[in-house]
Amino acid sequence: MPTVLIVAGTQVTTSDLHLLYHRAFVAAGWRAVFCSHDHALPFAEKVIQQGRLLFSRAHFALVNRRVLAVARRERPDLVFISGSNWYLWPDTVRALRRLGARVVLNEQHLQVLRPYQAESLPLYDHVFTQDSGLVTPGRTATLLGPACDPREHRPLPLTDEERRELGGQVVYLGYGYPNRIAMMEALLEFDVRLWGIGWDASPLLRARFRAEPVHGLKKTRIYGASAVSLNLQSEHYQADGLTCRPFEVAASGGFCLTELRRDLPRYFVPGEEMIAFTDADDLKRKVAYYLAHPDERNEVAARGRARALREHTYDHRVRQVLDVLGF
Amino acid sequence: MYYLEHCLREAGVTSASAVTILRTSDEPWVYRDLRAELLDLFPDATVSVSAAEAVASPVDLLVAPFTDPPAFPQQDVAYRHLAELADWSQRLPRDCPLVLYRAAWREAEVVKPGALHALRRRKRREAACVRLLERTSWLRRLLRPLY
Repeated sequence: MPTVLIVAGTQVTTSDLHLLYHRAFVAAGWRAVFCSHDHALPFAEKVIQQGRLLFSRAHFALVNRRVLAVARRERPDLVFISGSNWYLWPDTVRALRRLGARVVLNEQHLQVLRPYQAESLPLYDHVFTQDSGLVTPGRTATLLGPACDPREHRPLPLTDEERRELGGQVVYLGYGYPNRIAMMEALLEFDVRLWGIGWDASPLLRARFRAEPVHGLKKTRIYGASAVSLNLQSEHYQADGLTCRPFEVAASGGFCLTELRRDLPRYFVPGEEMIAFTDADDLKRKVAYYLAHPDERNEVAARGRARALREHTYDHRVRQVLDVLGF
Repeated sequence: MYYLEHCLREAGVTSASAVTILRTSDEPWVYRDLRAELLDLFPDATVSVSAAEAVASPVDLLVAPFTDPPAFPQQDVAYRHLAELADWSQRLPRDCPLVLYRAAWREAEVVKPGALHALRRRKRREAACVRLLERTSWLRRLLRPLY
């Protein structure tokens, strides 16, 4: 049985996408080993990682040493660096290849410009990217879209109490970056619910914010309990690409309004399977429209769900990775 | 939550029929969320919430949620529960795995049966080390959270 070593983080994100890749590799018949750079760390590494020494030479040295130790023990056929290469030095990438592994980067945050990240780029056997803006003709890079996991993202039965507790007319779940705060402040006339981190920075939004952790099925239930789930992108982490949020909302049976990005038509038919907005005024108009037309909203959600399950699951993405690499 | 399934499987826990969540917090959402996740993972299991002194046997998985917010340097919130860990090491069934679930940063640590006493000793050493770091001003500056 071939072995994949997945190097990624697992904490403090609103998506478990790297772990869901782990599950999809297992479903594809691989032995999957997960090496996290932020979970179950040795004490010293944890203290360093969580203080000012984050990204210091000492921190890098500890992570690189640990990844190599796991690779020497597990002898992977494939090393799948997922998210971005936050930590691995070029020498480590070379060492992993010397061990006989194919090393690929699954780049999701446009983080390729730091010296060690840029220097590592030509060393990978292949680069997959979630953003088509990073795919340059003639380079060994392939678009690997965001995805959903039907075992995690699925319509769940909800009681009336759960709907009241978790749902709202408009919900957003994620980090309260400044651009997202500005967008949500434009929607105060609606019953807005916010989950995640950082929303209490806005006095206008504080009362709409629930500071409870949201992971796993709770997120799925929130999407199912809400009339409109928003996908607000990050200014720093996406250019043309989408986050996995529209895919997760769709698979959960929810209705997603997403910021328009150039990659959207690659995955969903805009206006039929997914609705996009261009700015705050457009968002407000579309929220009001789809709240007033629940049948239309449900039809879009159903078409979006069917497309997500048909083409955009982690199982599909792993199959694509294995096909590209010739496994 | 595949995360929980993953952590349990890594620790060798692949099935459970009687799960008890220890009542460690006044936050109602943590019991609701954990119960839903555990029932999804083990659909045939009974999942109950109970104080440690009232855990009914048989039980084959225990979950102890900690809902405290992390603080400098986001040290393990389990450091604030050393007394409970000591109590549990005496009181809880020694043949049952225990999940220490830090809710705020979603970190689950599965303590193997009978290993709780050793874990408590390790956590006590780490907590002492963190206290030392916090008392030393230049170390405190160096290790204060970046974000």
